[in-house]
Amino acid sequence: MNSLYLNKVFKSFGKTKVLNNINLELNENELLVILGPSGCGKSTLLRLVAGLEDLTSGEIYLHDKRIDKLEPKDRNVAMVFQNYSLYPHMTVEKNLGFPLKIAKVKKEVIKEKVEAIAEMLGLTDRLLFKPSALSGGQRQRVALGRAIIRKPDIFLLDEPLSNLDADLRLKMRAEIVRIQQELEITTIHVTHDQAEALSMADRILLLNDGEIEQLGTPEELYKNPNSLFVAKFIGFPKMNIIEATIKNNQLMPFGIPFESKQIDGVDELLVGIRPEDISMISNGQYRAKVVSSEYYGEQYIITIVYNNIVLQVSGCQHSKNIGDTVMFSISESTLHFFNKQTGSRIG
Amino acid sequence: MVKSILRYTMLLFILGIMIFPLLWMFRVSLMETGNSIQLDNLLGTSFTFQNYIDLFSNSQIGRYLYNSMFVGVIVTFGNIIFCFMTAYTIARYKYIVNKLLFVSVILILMIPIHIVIIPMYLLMVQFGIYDSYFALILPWLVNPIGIFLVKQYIDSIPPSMEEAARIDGASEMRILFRIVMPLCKPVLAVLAIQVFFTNWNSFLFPFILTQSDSVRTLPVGLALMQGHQAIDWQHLMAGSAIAVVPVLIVFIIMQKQIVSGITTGGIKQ
Repeated sequence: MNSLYLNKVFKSFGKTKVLNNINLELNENELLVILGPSGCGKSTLLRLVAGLEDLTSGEIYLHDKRIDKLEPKDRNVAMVFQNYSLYPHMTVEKNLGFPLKIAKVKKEVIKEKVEAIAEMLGLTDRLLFKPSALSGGQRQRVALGRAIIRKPDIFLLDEPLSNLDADLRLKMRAEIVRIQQELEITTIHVTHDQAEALSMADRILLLNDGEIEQLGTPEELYKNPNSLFVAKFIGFPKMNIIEATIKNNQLMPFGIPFESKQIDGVDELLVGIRPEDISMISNGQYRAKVVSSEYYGEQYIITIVYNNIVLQVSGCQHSKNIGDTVMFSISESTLHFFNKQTGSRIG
Repeated sequence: MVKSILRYTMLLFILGIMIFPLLWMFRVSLMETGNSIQLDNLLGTSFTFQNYIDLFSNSQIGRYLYNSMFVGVIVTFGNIIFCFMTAYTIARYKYIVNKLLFVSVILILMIPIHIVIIPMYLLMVQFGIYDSYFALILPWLVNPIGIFLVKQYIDSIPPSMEEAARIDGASEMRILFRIVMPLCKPVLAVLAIQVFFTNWNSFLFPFILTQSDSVRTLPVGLALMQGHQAIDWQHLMAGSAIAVVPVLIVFIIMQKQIVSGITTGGIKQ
């Protein structure tokens, strides 16, 4: 059974098209991460589901009930905003209980539920504080608590971690996944941070310029990107993209034997190589020069130049001096091929 | 050391100039009637509260005081509610009509208020509310400066706070009065103080729009205490002192808000 279903969703602001033909089905209790660069329409998509924006055309169903014409309050969705949007004049207790108070739930029940949520989120000793007296992480947890307290059908998170420092962000990622699994709520999480998307998502929806670029599990997007955009967007360091040609059944410039029928008559293409798929070994096939070496704690990322082609290599255990000559190998099975004109995946 | 002595002397001198008329007013109000109010006579004569007793027992000053307070409080509350509601609509609902409304508010700011004295008088007469509380209250329940002030403040509040409440199921009225209004407390306090003071000191319109003692406000009442031939300074100053006291009390209580209102928008928070 699908939880949320978007059918041919279009959204324009005046003449500017923001979302173009979005079709999407979310499974029950799934955590979908919408990923994409700034201005690609990911927050707009979330706001359409929440009812904060009107559709230009299309339909949205939540548990088989059409919701796109309903007011936000009638959709039973909950949303956490990037800036938390806590009510600064209310205490944590009142902030958490606000949705229940509006729903005219009895005072004793509100108190009980607020205490339970506070305990779940580790906020019990902060209930009488106002948001200004809380740290960033605590504010974020209050915002989460306010969203989940009335058991929504879907949980919408609009870049909730982007205002936190790196350490806290890692903690809160795990926290959100824990809460989502514990409460079994279908969740859409919007972010522009690919690490966040890869680590949290059941599936990732990658948006580009208002269109779905790819929808799949994190592994699918990483290992089988179906366009050049996906290949470049996912992964750190970025995938190396090289202009290549097929000559005499060989992939140039590397001279790798190549089954040309695989790409059916195309001679010019783009080849993608993940930085970790290049192995720097003494008996490697190709000779290159080191141009930079960056230290990242658990690894070095080394940039080399081979035949005027700049390649980044990750996962290196040792530093190299600039100007050193190194040998490297590439395995054909790890290569990704893309159409030079359209950017779509070949093979 | 010398510098700070000079600085304090300078400040005391300025303070003296500013506070002298006030002290003079209080001193004259405590003199016996008929005494000279010249400066050389200020310290020598005796002190008495008779002028205050006379005012409350023989004149309508109690009534004027009540009228000023009543009109001031109603007008202040009216401004808080109506300026806030208009400002919220202009700030949050970006329709063309609202933009035109805002432009017209700005244009009204440019028109000198005295131009409307005669039309206002005629209007009040036609409405049949001349010489009543309505004439003192209705025209001032909302003012363009208030709308402008509050609108600018609401613009600085992120709309996501209201969106969060909307998703939580709050009605528009609840969002307006339970979420946005408490957030606007600083600017509404400034508005309240300014409106109350302006109303308290207002003379021209209450003078023109009223003629009976039962609705006259304090400034009008004080002005009418002056005779054609002579001015009874002692009683007039006692009346003025009574008029100043509520203003002083409000100022002392709300000092923080007044200062923060003056600096609002001037510095980055």
